[in-house]
Amino acid sequence: MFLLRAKSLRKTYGGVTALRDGSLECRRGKVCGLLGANGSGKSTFSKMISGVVTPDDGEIWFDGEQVRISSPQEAKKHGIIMVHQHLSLIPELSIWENMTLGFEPEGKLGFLNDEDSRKLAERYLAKFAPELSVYAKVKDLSLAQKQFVEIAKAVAQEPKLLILDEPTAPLEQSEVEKLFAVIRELKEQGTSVIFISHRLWEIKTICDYVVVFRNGQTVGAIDFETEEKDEDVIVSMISGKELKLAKNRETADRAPKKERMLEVGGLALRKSGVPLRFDIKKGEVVGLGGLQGQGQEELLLALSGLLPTGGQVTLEGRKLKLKHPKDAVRAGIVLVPGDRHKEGLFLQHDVFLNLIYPQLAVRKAGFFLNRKKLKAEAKTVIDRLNIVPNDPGKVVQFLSGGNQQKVVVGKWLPLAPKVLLLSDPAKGVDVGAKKELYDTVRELADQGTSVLLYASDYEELTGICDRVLILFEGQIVDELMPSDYSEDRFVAASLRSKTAAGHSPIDEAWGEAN
Amino acid sequence: MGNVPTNAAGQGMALGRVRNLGSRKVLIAYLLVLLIFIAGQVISPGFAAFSNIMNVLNISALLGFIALAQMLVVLSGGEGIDLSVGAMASLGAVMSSQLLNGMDGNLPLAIAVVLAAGFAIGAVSGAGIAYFKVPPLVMTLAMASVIQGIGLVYTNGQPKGMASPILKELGTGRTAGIPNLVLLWIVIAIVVAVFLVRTRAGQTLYGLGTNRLTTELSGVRTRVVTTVVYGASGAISAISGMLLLSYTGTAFLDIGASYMLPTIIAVVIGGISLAGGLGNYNGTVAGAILLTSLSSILVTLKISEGGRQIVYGVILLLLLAVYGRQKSNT
Repeated sequence: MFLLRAKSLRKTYGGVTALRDGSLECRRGKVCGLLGANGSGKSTFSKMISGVVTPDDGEIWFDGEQVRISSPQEAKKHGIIMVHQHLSLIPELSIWENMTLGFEPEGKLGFLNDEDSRKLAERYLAKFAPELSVYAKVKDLSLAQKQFVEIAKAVAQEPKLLILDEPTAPLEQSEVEKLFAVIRELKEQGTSVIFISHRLWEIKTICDYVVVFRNGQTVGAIDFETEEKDEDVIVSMISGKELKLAKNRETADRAPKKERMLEVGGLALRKSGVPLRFDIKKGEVVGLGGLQGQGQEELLLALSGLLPTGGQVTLEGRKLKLKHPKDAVRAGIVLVPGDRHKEGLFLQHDVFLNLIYPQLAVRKAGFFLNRKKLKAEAKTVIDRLNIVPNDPGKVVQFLSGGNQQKVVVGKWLPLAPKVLLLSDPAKGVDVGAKKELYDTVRELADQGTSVLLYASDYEELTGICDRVLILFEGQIVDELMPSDYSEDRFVAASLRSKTAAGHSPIDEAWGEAN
Repeated sequence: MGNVPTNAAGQGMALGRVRNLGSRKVLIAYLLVLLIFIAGQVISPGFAAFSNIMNVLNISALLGFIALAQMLVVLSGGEGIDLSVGAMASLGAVMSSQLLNGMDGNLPLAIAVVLAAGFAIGAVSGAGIAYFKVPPLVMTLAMASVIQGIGLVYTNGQPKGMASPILKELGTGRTAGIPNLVLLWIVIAIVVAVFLVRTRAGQTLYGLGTNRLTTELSGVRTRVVTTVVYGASGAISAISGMLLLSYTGTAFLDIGASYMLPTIIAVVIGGISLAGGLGNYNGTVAGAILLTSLSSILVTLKISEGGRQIVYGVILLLLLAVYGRQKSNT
């Protein structure tokens, strides 16, 4: 008997299809794992069920009748409550006020009954965090505690269907166990749960069955009660590919690089994490892979000096102190940041100022500017990167995304950088410009520049990198060589988080859970 | 007429299309000045006479000096604004007056002390803004009150002394019929134009004003630079106080107070984006001349003080409605 049946839900945003064909059946009193890579449509799908997004097409059946859920309030009336990834608590209010906000028990004459509210909050909070007082203000809580309050608030409303969107992201192992205990209790009471997570061991521990999304479509389901919990099957469902041999790459026969350029040691991206250790050879292109938000961007920011993290960074045998971007830039470590408008460009100024700015910043230029020389240099960069139009006086905001990104890369060229850090450089860049961009990066590498590249698209990584480090929760959990390159390997490495060194909190957790 | 300082300031400006966005506003400002003088001449013959034009320019120069301090801060972005320029100019004036005590021999010392005090006080504002994240509006407003207090303590409420002969000659004398202050203004306008466009520091400032994060990531210590910019604003305001003294001969405690708001308006009329990073000094020069011409014609029209303020206010509102609308920076 199904509690919820969603059939062929579809949603497009101005020509971009977020969800093509999402279907899911929710069994009563069971936990359904919702799986899929970033952008596979699972978030859009769960938002439709909870009334945040209205589907363009498709049917939703709930409790035996067809329903239209056009707002979160309506979803609540049916008994569907979603705990979103981004918390929605009000920092200045106390825990109990937050927990009962929106469904306050009413007393006589319709006035709010604070006493009942507090008792209700206390009862449900005790399931997760008995040590917390309901009078504590939310702003004083840790991220994990806030997550618990958010979930406790949802549970307190006694939903028939509870949707949890990556609820475990801020939680430690013992806290995850606590959450699982509550989920099991809910199951016994007949509540259905949709559980979204990227961590396979969690899925295998708590879910009764899983539904997999890929490219905006439901691609399959596995019933753990009758079928085996086979990670390989799950991973290949998510990635959509059978194990496939790596593409033959022209780079494979390039002579192995020996000379060390950059050595990083003892760099901890997250407080509790094991410090990172890796090096990059001269002229090597190293990729940073893994799921989104696993510390790749933080690592690049740390190396660019914007995010001081401690740890030792050695460049060509010389120890660096990276306390400020100027330290990195002067040493020759330069960043092409992830958000070019906010972090890489002066949009309202011309290409010329943008291209010469780093030289001003590190005082490579004299006090009085030699505009003729600088103009010539800017012109050289424009020609080399084929920036269109080739007019240094053009205001950058009127350039296409690809040409803007070329300006961001190009501004570093006159400084002859030793290490180029790239944060998802091809985001919002058209195919042609993307190719030119990566050709330039490859060319720079061939001339001896070392490159550290984070890209959210795995094909960009495999297309250019000599090897790829996979990050998971701020740790390097795997290293893939060109012979390992396949989407399957990527997804497996990204999700399964097996370390070469063999010690990561995730692996330990994995061991406990089995 | 007013074209003299612009052309001079405008020479180094032909940089690119960006800066020309502001230059249309500057052109309109000068057309308005022209209109005011024509109207003034019709209503009251003699308004457009050479001597009156020079008079207006002379007073414009005083506003223009203080507005330069305001412009640098606005240009540096981060919602930059300096509400202490008026108080700082007052302090500069009373300090100059007491230090000079009417003697030319004290001039080098007075200049040095006034510049240093202005820079130090301005840098305190800058540090508060850059390091302690106090909003510029709040920081400089509070600082204005502190500076006023310093002035009171310093003078015991009664400024003594007066301008020295050389300073008086600078403030009231003429060379070839042109007031010395106007000539000084032209020189300063050229220096500032060259500084902004032709030097590393000037171009760095444009970057800082447009996008702090990009500037920081390029390797500029933006907080240090911000502190220095507010320090420079303080020093320029304070030395402008000395120039106010050169014009008036003796100082009083709030001699600079009435300049604070007009500096902001002159900067906006001059095409400096309040969001920072765009515009240049020739626009501010135009703004100062326009504002001074406007109050001058209102005086000529013999409208009562109250009526004059109302008309001035309404016209400013109209000007800012037209000029102030600009896309904010990202």
